[in-house]
Formats: sequence, structure tokens, C-alpha cells
Amino acid sequence: MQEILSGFAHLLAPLPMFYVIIGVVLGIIVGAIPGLSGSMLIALALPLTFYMSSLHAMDLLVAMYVGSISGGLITAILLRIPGTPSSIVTTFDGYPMARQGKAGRALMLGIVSSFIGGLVSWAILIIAAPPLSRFALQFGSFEIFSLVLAALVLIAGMGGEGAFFRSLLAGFIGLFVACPGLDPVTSTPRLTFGSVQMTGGFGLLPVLIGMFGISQIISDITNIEQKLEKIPFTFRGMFLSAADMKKSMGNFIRSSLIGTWVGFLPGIGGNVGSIIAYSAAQSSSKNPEEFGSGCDEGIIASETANNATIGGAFIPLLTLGIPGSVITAILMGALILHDIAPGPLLFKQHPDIVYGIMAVVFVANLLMFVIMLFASYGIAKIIDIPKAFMIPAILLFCVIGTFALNNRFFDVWIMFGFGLFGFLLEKLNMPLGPFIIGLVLSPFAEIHLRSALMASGGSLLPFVTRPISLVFVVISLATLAWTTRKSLLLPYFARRKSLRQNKPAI
Amino acid sequence: MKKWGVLLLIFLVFQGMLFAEGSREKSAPAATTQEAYPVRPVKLIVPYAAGGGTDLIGRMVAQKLEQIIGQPVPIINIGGASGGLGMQELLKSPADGYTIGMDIINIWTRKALKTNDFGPEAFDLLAQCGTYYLVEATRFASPYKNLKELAEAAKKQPDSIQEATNIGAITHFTTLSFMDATGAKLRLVHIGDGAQRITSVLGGHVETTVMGTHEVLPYYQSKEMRVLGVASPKRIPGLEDAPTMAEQGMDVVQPVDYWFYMPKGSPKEKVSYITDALEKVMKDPEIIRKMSEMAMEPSFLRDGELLKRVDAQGKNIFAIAEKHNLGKK
Repeated sequence: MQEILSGFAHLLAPLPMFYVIIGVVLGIIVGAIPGLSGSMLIALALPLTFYMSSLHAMDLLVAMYVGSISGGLITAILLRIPGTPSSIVTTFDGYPMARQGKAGRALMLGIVSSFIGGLVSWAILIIAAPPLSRFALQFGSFEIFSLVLAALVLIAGMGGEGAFFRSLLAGFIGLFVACPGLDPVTSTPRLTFGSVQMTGGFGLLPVLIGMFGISQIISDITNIEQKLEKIPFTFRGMFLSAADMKKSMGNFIRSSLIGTWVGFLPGIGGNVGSIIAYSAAQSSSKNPEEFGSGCDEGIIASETANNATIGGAFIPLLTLGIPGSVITAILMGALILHDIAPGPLLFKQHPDIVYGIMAVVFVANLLMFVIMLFASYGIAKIIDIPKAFMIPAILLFCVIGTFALNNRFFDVWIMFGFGLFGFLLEKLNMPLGPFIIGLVLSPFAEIHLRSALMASGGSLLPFVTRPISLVFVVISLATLAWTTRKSLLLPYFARRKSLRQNKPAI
Repeated sequence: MKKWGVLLLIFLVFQGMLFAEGSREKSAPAATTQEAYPVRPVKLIVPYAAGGGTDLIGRMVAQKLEQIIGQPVPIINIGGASGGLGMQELLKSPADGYTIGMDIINIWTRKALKTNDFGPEAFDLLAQCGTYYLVEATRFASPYKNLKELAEAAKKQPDSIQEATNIGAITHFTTLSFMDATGAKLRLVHIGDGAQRITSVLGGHVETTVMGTHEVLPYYQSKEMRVLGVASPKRIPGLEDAPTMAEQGMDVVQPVDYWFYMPKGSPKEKVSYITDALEKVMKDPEIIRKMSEMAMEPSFLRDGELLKRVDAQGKNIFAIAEKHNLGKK
């Protein structure tokens, strides 16, 4: 307890506080700009921290992490372009809600959810980090595959009524797009057609920026002279009532726990956390059909979970020296460069750093909340800027961000290619949600399924004999049965019935 | 009207992009002997994502290199395809002395697996800056206290003891060498990168894995992992209690060196200028201390000795690949 307090105490000095504020603000800005991601910002800022004390370096970098995960919701809601991959799912409900003239409410839901998700995972971090990290190690390939499966199954029902096959098709296309590159298990080229550039596969970020950013730009250009009915920004429903909060309490808690848990698992970041929380929210909702049309629950699940992954990702980093996400891997490198060896002894050897980081996570979340709250009115005005001014600016950032991601121009061509592809998919009325889920989750499903089968010698039995795995398998089957009945069988019988009734009339 | 304005702007953005790409591939002006060098920043391509082990060493070296050559050395991370994309980029970079790159032994494993058709010979080799060795590790509570016990148990019940590996990477090659040297058969389970293998060993999902000395060090110190054998010629400072594989009668030595390159055909005087600078970097007490604290060897090699080492390692990798039919279609 005392260590935590001293962690907070160090932030009271002007210099560390300054770093935290700068970090959060820069993080939010970079997070909001499509293509520029938090990991990029932190990698760029890393050399600057060589001249700071290690604690101050962490203040700056951790604040950037928190800011960048939160900032993504702004563009996701207002422009339907996720600022960071973590906010992909926020577009599903955030943008429709903004189009209904409730941009203020959508933003507010996102900001409040981010704050709550951050706080809950922070509380778990400080209270339960050491015991939880041991327990969570029990999660092996079998469990991770079943967990991912439970979210993948949701693809079928995502497109809404009557879109059963289109949703499945879009999901499979996403899965297929994730295939080229080096085979994750044998490291040999797969579907690269002899091109060295293709051995990197289609990067997630270039594909996402293309599908959301570029395709939106293309469709905007095709009808730029058409006067869109103006959607004024309103404060309607902006202030969340106590009833709102109470109604969503379960969602907040569930999504926070899912986010924290997924954040813990190595190699899986905020985007997977929000997808799984979204699917869990949909399958436990009373009105699952409202998902995707601008409902509160979707925004809450996505934004709560992606901020909750931050606290989760710090648990293995601080207790075991294992990074839980891309950004924590960079933070781990930063610690080593500052002569601090992350590992199981970090708590003992450098308690000031451990508790300092815990304090920053809290303060940065608080600052993020306050800054976004006050800035949200100004930010939301983006929606009123004429398209003719917005499009070139967005395009520029898309190109810069995609290139800067890996310093490869090939990624920019991928982005444009998928921009065109995304535009076509939308013209064909294909839902984007299943595509994204297939794309993001299938690599995890593939690698963990193959690992699991290698471990079991090819037997599928452990998936149902291991209790945690069994739970997810049962959830998957139940979701599948429910979706098939609702989206496939019921409409089929309804059609047959109506055909039969209509027959005499012919 | 508006439509044309937007189209014009987009056209301009495209033009800018084409220009940016075109200028990158412009050929370098012919170098003269009097030319001052370096007069602008020297890029260091790291073919892995920021935050990994190679990136870390790259940043440590770059920081010192800047002070010695008096020009910034920005790190350009080009990750993906286990290092192949970044090295491909270095291959295409102008040979004007302003781009250097680094890679580990993956440059050989990629060639052996036919992921890339080029190896170190496609570049001008500068220097070797630092080395770590690979170890076979297990949980501290594991019943196996050394490699002999592990090998015997694995021979008694072949294909039952699970080893976490990263198929196609150097860890996989090292496991194969160990199994060849002892005749033991472990069940290989592809788990992925270092962090994931550590998790799976600590969580008890697999029994053993191959890791770098710097990776295992924190868990060795906290008594959560046991080092069964080190694939090094002699014991490693910091891991003194851990026997080498040679001590246990197994002829397995697997170093992982950091090799620095320039594109083929770079001006000789620039190659030796940067190599001299790297030699100074590796004599810096801070670099030596940092590497030693991470259980790495602050090794330095150049010219003939370096070529010999690089070739010998390549031969070893190709021999293992040949024997186990890796990289065959």
C-alpha cells in the first residue's frame, strides 16, 4: 500500500506530471489519426527517453499507451475509420449512432466506457497481479482456440436478418485474406506467388485502413456533389443518466474482465479484446438484433474492453517479464535500455518502477477522461467539416500512417487495393463486420489449433476434456445453434408458410 | 467544381507518393576518395518489430555509433517474414554507405527454408557485434535436472515429452541438433516466439524449450526455470551453474550473432569506416557492461574471421535442413 502511494507521490512533481499530460495528449491525437498507432508513437519517442530517468521515461511512454488506445474511438465514431485497430468494433455501432444525430452520445459512451474499462483493469492490476498471473498461465493453446472459436462463430449472425450466407461469405473472405505470408507453423511461404514482398502477407493495419478509410473516401467521392442531408451535431442524450449506467453495469463489468483477460494473453492485443467483448455482449443481450445499428451496448463493450486490455497487458509484463501486447513489448525494450531487467524479480529489484507504472496507468486514465470529456465538443465538430476538405487530409494521413507502420511502400499499395475491394464489398451489400472478425481472429485460431493438435498428437479430445476449453466449446455450439435457427431456419419456414398461403391466390 | 478540386488534390497526393518512391531508388552519385563521409544520417534497418531482442541491440549500438560518426543513426524497423522483408529492403537500398542493416542467424535459416533466395553473401559484411548462446530450459520444478536425464527419459518414451518450439527458426534447428546428438525424440509443439514459449513452459503446458541466454536469465535468477544445458563452448557468466552441452557429452554449440551489413558494392572506404566505428562501439565499457548483464557476449569480429564464422554457421544450418528435409516442397 505504501509503495502504491509513493508511486502516486512521484507524479505530484511538475516534471513527471508534465510528461504524463504530454503523453496522454499525444497518444489521443495519434490514436485518433487513422494509420498512426500507439506503437509507432512510442517507438519514435523511445530515443528521447534516453535522456530521462527511467521512471520519467515510463511516465511518458505509459501515458502515450493509454492515450493512444482511447483516441481511436473518435474517428471510429465520427468517420467510421478506426483510429487504431483496437477501435474497429466501435465503428459497428458508433458510426450508425452518429449518423442518427447522436454523435455526442456515442462519443460520451465511448469515453465513459474507456474510463471504466481502464479503471477496472487497473484495480485488477494492483490487487491481483501476482496471483492472477500464475493462474492465467493455465490458459494454453486448447483454451485460447476455444475462446477464439466462440467469437468466430458469431460471424454467421452478424449481418442481421436474411444475411446468413452473405455474412458467412464475408467471414471466409476475411479468413482467406489472413492466409498469405509465411505459414505460421512451418515458416514456409504460402500463397505468395513467388513474391518476396508477399512473404509479409497482408498486414492488418494496411487492410483495415484500406477497407474503412479508403473505401469510405471512394464512396464519398462518387457522390460528392449530391447534397447529403445535414446531420447536425447534437447533445441529444449526451449526458448519461443513472438509469443508463445501471442498465449497462453488467456489460461494463463483463467487458472489463474480458479485456483484462485477453490483454494478459501474450501476443493478443486490444483489437481481439474488443471483438470478443462485443460478441459476448451480443450473445448475452436481450436485443441482439440491435447490434450494428447504433446501440449503446456495442460501443460500451468495444471501448470498455480495449482500454481494459492495458491493465491486463501490464500484469504479465510486471510480474513475469512477458509482454502481453505489441506496445508492452516495446515498453519492455525501453526498460532494458534503461538498465532495468524485466522479469519475475522486477517487483523485488525495482519496486519504484513497478508501482510508478501502476500509478501512471491510473493517472493517465483519469487525465484521458478529463481531456476527452472537455475536448469532445470540439472534436465532434469534425463531422461538420465539408467533405472536400476532409478527404484529402484523411487520404494523406492514411498514406503516411500505412507507410510509417513498416517503412514499406508495398503496404500502401495493399491499402489502396483493399480500399477498392472494400468499396466493392459494400456495393454488393456484404457486411464488413464478419470480414473483420475473420481477418483478425483466424490467425489466432489457426496457430493455436495447430499448436494444440501438435501437443495432443492429433487428438481433438482435449478440447472437450479440459474444463475451461469445454465451457467455450459449449458456448460456441449454443451460439451456432441459436444463429442457425434464427437466421436460417425461421426465415425459411416463414417463407414456405407465406408461399403456401399465397398459393390459392395465384 | 468541387469534384475536380478533390480529384486534383488526390492526383497531387499520388504524384507526391510516386516522387517519394522514385527518389528512393535514384542511384547514388559516384563516390570520390575526397568525399566527406558521413555528411547525412546513416539509416540502420532492423528487420524486426520495435521491442524485440534484435531491435534492442540495434538501438544500443546505434546510440553509440551516433556519437562516434557524428551523424544520427535512425532505426528503421521493417518487420515481418522473420526478418526477410527488412533484409530484402536492404538488398534494394542504394550502395552509397548511408544504409546499414543487421540480422541474426535467421538470414541463413530463411535461405535454407527457401523463404529467401539470398543469404549473407548478397551483402557487404561489416562486423559481428555481440553474441548470445541458446540453452535448453525447463521449469524449475521439472523432474529433469540435466540434459542426460531428459535424453534418457525421452529415449525410454519417445515422442511423449513436449518441447515448445518455433518451427523454422533457430530454436527449432537447435532442438533438432540436440535430438540428433542424443538420439532422443521429443514431441515438438509449435508455440511461437520467445514470450509465448516462456509462458507455455511456466504454465506447464510443455516440458522444455530452447531459449537465448538473455531470455532465460531472469527466470534462472528467480528460480522459476532450470537451464539443462547451454549450447556454448564454455559456461556463461551469469549462468555459471548451468553446464554446457559439451560437458554432458553432446556436441551441440549454437551461437546467435548480431551481424551488420551494407548493400553489396558499397564503397570500400565507407565500409571500413563504419566497421572501424562499430569496433569502437564494441569497446565501449557501457556496451560491454550492458551485454554482460544480459548474459550476452560482447563479441566483435570483422573481415576474414567474420567471413569464416558466417560461412561455418551457414554450413551447419544447411546440414541440419538437409538431414531433416526442411525447406523441401
